[in-house]
Amino acid sequence: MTTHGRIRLIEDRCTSCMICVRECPTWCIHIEAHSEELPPTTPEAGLGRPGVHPSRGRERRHNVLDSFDIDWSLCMYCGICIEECPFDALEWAGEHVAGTDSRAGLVHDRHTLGEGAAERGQRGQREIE
Amino acid sequence: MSSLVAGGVGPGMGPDDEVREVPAAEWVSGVSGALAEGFTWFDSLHAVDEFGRPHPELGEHFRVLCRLVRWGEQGPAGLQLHTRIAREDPILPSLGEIIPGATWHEREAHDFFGITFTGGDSRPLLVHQAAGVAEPLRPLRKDVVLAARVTRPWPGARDPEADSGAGRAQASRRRMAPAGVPDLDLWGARAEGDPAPADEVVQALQGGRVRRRR
Amino acid sequence: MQFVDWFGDGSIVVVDLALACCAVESEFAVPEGAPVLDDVPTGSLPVAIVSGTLTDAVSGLVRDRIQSLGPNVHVVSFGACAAAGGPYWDSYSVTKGVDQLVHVDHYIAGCPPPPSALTSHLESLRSARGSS
Repeated sequence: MTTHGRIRLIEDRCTSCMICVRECPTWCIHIEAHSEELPPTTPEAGLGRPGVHPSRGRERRHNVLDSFDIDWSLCMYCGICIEECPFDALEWAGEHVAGTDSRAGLVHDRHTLGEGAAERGQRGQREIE
Repeated sequence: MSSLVAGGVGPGMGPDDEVREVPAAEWVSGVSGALAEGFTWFDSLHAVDEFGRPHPELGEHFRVLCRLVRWGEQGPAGLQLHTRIAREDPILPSLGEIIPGATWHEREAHDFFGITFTGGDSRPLLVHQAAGVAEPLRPLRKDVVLAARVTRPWPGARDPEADSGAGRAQASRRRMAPAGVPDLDLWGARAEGDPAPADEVVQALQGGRVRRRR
Repeated sequence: MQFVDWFGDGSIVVVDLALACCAVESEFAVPEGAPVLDDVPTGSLPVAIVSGTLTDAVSGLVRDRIQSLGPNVHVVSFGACAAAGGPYWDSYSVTKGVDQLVHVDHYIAGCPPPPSALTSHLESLRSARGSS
C-alpha cells in the first residue's frame, strides 16, 4: 500500500516537460527551466533536413531545470503528478511533510523535495547488482 | 447533493436503476405514481446543467432528477425520474406536497442552479448571496467562472523552450490554457455590465491548446 | 468552548475548531481519557487548532473564538485547507487560510495530516515550556 506522505523529486530524471505542473488540479507545482543548445551531432546525420546547419549538423536543445517547488499548503496528495510523469521523476516518499512555523515553509524547493533521492538511487543500484 | 456512490446493492445511485424520462408538466404526477408503485424511500433530488447538449424542444436546459428506492424481498430497487427544464428562467413544481423532505434538496438546487420550485421553499440553504450583488451567484451553472483561478497565474503556462527563444514563433500561435479557466482573450475583455454569453464562457473554459480569436 | 487538558497535567489545553474532514484526524489524536475543562486553568497554555476548510461564512466566528483565548494563544493550522484553502482555494466561499484572520504559530501539512503530527507538535510545545 502506498502511503500518501510527501512526494519526492528524482531530479536527474526530470526533463522540465511541465506535464506535472499542467495536470495538477490545485496548481501547487511550479517549475522554472530554460532550454540550452546541445553540442552538435555529426553533419551527416541530418543533412538536407530543415534546421540542419551544413557545417554543424542538426541543432538540438534540451531543457535545464532551474527550480522545482511544491506548495504543500495547496497539495491534496492525489498523486496525479506521479501518475502522469512520463519519466518517473516523482514518487511517493513514505514520510509525511514536516510541520513548519511559517506559511512559506510549506513550499519545498528541489533540494528538499529531492531529499532521499540519492540514497534511493544507491539502494536501487544495489538491488540491481 | 448526495449518494453518488456506485453499485446497485445499497441505496446509493446505482447503475441498475430504472430511469424514466418525465415531461416537466407531469413531474409531480410521475413521482406520486412511483410512490404508489412502492418506491416510497426518497433518496435524493439533483440537478445537472446540460449546457452544450441542447434538447430538441427546450434547447439549452437543466436536467432535474429524483431518485426513489423500493425495499423488497430481493433487496432495494432504485428508480430515477428525470425531467428537463429550459435553462432560461428554470421553473419546476415542488415535490414538497408529496415528499416533504424533497424541499431540502430543492433549496440546494435553487442555491446552486437558480431553479425555482413553485409551491416550494426558496430560502437560501448553502449559498448566501453577498449583499448588494445584482446577479445572484449560482455556482454549479457551467458558465460560472471561478474568479480565483482567473486572477492567479497558471503555473502551467510556462514553456521552457519558448521562454528560451527556441520555437518562439510556434508559441505565439498556440499556447496552453488551463481547463476550467476562461482564456482571457476569449472571455476577459468585456465591458462592465456586459456579461459574456454563456456559450462564449463555456467555450472559453475548455483549456488545452487555444487559438486566439482575434 | 471545551478545552482538552491534553496531557492531564494542566500544561496545555486544546480547543479544536473542527471545521471539516481534517477534524477526523485531529480528533483522533486526542488522548483517551484526557480531561475536558470549561475554562483555561491559570498557567496553562491555550492552543487553538483549526482543522478543516475555513469558509468566509464562519471566518468571523473562528477569529472571535481564537481571540477570546487571549494574546498568549498558540494557533495551529492543521492541514492544507486551514493553511491556504488547500484544494478548495479556488472556491467562491473558502477563506485562503486561517492566517488571513489571526497569527498562526505552526502549520501542519497534509491532506489530511496524520494524527501523530499533531501529537508530536503538542509534545514538543510541552517540553519547550518545561525547559524554559
